[in-house]
Amino acid sequence: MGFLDWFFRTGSWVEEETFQLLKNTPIFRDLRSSDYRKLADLLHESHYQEGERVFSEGDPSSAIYIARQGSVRLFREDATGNRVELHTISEGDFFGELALCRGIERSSSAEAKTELTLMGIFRQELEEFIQKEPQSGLAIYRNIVQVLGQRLYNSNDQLESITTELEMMREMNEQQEAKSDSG
Amino acid sequence: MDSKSALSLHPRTLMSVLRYALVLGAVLLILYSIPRVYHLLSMTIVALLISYLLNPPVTFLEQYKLTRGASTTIVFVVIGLLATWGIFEISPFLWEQYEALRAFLANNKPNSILENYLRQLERSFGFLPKGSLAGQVGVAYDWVFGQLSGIPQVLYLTLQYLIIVPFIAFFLTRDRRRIRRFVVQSVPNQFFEMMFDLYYKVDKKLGAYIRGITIESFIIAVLSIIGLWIVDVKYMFVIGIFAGVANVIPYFGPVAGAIPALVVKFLDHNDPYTLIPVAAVFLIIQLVDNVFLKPIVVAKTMDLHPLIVLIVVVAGGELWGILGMIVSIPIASMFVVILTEMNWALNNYSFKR
Repeated sequence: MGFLDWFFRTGSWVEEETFQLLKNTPIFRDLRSSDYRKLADLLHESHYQEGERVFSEGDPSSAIYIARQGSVRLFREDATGNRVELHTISEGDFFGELALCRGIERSSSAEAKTELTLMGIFRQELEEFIQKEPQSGLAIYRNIVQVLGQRLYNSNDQLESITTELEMMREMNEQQEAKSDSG
Repeated sequence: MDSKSALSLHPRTLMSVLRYALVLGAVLLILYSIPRVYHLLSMTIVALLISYLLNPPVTFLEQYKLTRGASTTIVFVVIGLLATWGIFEISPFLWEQYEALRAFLANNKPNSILENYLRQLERSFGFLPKGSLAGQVGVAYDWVFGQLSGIPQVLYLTLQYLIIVPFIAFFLTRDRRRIRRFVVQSVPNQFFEMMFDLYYKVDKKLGAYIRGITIESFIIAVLSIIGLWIVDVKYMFVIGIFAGVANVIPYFGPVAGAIPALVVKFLDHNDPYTLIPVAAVFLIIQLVDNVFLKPIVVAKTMDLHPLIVLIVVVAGGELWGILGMIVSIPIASMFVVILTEMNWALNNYSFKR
């Protein structure tokens, strides 16, 4: 690398791998290719051991994470410490996207299910990026809407099947009661 | 090992004791080394200030598909040329005026007329011993005069900085994001998000504050020069610039900024009534500052408690004289921002492992 190269380098200290990871993350699809470099500059890498917390429910939220290696467990805890598992995030997926809305607390806790490498992007930096590159910014928001919409769709499906199941259980209960009444 | 002995500690207690010892050690080491790396430290702080001032144009240029390195270089070269031009073209003129002011003050020590007024004052307040006021004024005058004479020396020291500071400032500006990444990634995981939040907010607030007070000082200086020109005060350029810089200090700064003009005017005419227009000029400027400049330019002023301002200014004065008084306020504000944001973060994140 020549002196001039070093001197004028973009400030991009990103390896090719990171660059690819971004390209393959759903919310960063269809950006202008020159913008991937800039975006990659905003990635912060962190490593977690199995079982280590990434964030906790109720924390202020400022980063959205992409699982680079390993998987993540999203869960909620009630007051007695009982855990309800919500989701498992696998390699290449992202989570914590509510951080993109200012002032919303973490709606669940996240912890490493396996040994884990995360790439974090912080809301403020992403917002600055979007301001500077509105075209790509629009694409990002469109992607987010798409992913969130898909997740909502899935939740609705789940809700529907749970409701049907509940309904069936109630009917069975009633039938049994009717039987025992007549019996 | 006797685990029942009074000295044995739970491993966790031991760990936290160790941790506190480490932190304490680090603090002591820093305090110990500050005087030894004093110049380096102040150079870095000055470079940081410059970096904050020059970051917006650099970021602006980046929009035009320039790399960070290229836009930083362009900005630094342009500002460097302007500064050089300023040093060669404007400073001799200011220097002349400064020398003239110094000579003027040296030749017009608080004179008989002022002493008459003071004696009158002493008579009307019977409890004041004779000559005490005049003595006090003399002491204060000598101190200010001494400080005034010291400024070139400090500026000379700053000239020595002229080589190293731009160098540090250049890299602080060019590698801004890289530094942030390094800082954020170097903390343990449970502080990761908090650290970024903290860094980001402190950075934002500091930048806004430093740019704000710089613009404000500049405007105040220009207004003061114009005002002093209108009411015909000698050495208006030096005095006006001083007023602009002094304005950085909340509460006391504006008063301190007006004093040189009042003193010069009084020594010039020996008539207290000529002071009224001068005072009026500064009052109007303060009005403009508080009604227009502060809300617009320094959008969110850092509110330091008057007591803190007083203590910090006195401490700054003890350490570095008049310049210390002025520089102490931005530095104190820096610490206040860091502490406030840290406090917020510690209260809001749960740090579960």
